[in-house]
Formats: sequence, structure tokens, C-alpha cells
Amino acid sequence: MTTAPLLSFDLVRTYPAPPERVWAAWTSADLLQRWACPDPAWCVSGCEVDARAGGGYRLQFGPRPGGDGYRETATFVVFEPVERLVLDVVTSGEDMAENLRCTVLLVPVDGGTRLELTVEGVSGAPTVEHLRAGWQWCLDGIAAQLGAAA
Amino acid sequence: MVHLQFAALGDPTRLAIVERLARGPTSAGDLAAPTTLSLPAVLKHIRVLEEAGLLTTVKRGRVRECRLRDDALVAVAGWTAHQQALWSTRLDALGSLLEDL
Repeated sequence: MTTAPLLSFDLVRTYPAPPERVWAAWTSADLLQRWACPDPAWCVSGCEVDARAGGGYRLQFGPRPGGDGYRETATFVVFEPVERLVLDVVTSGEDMAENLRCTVLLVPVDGGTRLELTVEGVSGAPTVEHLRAGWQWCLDGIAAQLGAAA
Repeated sequence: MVHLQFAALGDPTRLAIVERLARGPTSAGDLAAPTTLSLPAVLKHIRVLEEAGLLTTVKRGRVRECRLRDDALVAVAGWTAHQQALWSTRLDALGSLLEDL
């Protein structure tokens, strides 16, 4: 079933910062958690980033004070510093789950960076590779938890 | 209901079904054919979409015909508005962070 995506939109912003810094904001846990959950009534309680092709990020967030209840797991499908990042994002929480593909383009412009974001609802059966990558993340997380507890 | 509809659209298989039906009504069997899913698995997804008010089905003999409801397009617009607001707020927050660094 290949057809133009039904769910899709673009957003564009220009930031007064070089592409390197905008790239870092997407690919370092320290920075990502400072903008990924802008709702003042909510907060981030966990953020990990594996900054490489095939890596991704894991965010845990929700209403204050716990900041729990929602998980956002992204896989970096394309990782081309500091130009192009394509990520498959799975968000899950209480009785909801959502699959998105985000494409981030960073274009150097006078005095800063233009960021072009395309967000698409992902249709079609998820590939085995995606499922494997997603589960590998979870298993790594569990292993880390067990290691910390031991 | 809106929440149900977003949950229904959030699944890749169900979104593919809605995309196919946006081109016109078809049978459950035709929806299953291009996928690796069994007919019962596809019928389960169809039921979720039906409960969310996104499509209707009519049994004609041995064939179950599926058709998008007008509500589906409203739901698609709602999904887009919701996601657009979320990512727009995020990109603004990213802008504030970059100014503070």
C-alpha cells in the first residue's frame, strides 16, 4: 500500500545558532530533555541518547511531579551530522500508541540555521528490522536496570 | 471519541487501511491481500476503526465491504492539528534553548 501519506505536515524555523549547535540539541541527552517537553505542567523524568545511525533516544515524561506515564522512543534511521536526521518515533502511554517519522533538515543560512521538519504518520506493517531495533532498546534498558540493581 | 480516533490512526496497519479506503470503498479481503496479515487479523483492525467511528462495513453475501465515514477526514484533520501544535511548541522551546546557550 504505497500512496502519498495521509497524515503529514511541515514546520520551518530559523534559529540564530550554527547547525552544529542545533544538531547537538537533537542528539545530546543533556540538551534534548530541555526542550522536548515544553508543557510547564509536565516534566521529563528520563532521557537517554545513543548518537549514531541505528541509535536513537528514549524519553520518559508526564505530568508533574512524577514526569512518568509516557514513553517516546526514537530510532535514528538516517544520521548525517550536521545536515539530516531521520527518526522513527514511537510514543506510548495510557491506552495510546503513536508511530511517526520525522525528517529534520538543517540548512546553514546568514546568521544561523534554518530547520525544516517533516512529520508523517507511519502506515504499513512495521518492518522486522524496526521491531528488532525497538526491542533491542528495551532489552538494553532492562539490562541496564538490572545491572544497576545488582 | 477523538481519543479513540487518534489511537486508531496511530497504528501503522490501521493508518494503511484508512489510506487505502481514502481512494474508495473495498472489501476486507482486498485490504488484507497486499499485507502479510491474515484476514482475521485485518478484520480485528477493521473493527477498531469501526468502533472509533472512522469506517462502516456492510456485508454483501460473503463479502464485507468497507467504506470510510466522513468523520475519518475530520479525524485526520484533528490528528494533524494536534501533532502540529505539539511539534510547533517543541521547536519554539528549542529556539528559546538555543538563545540561552
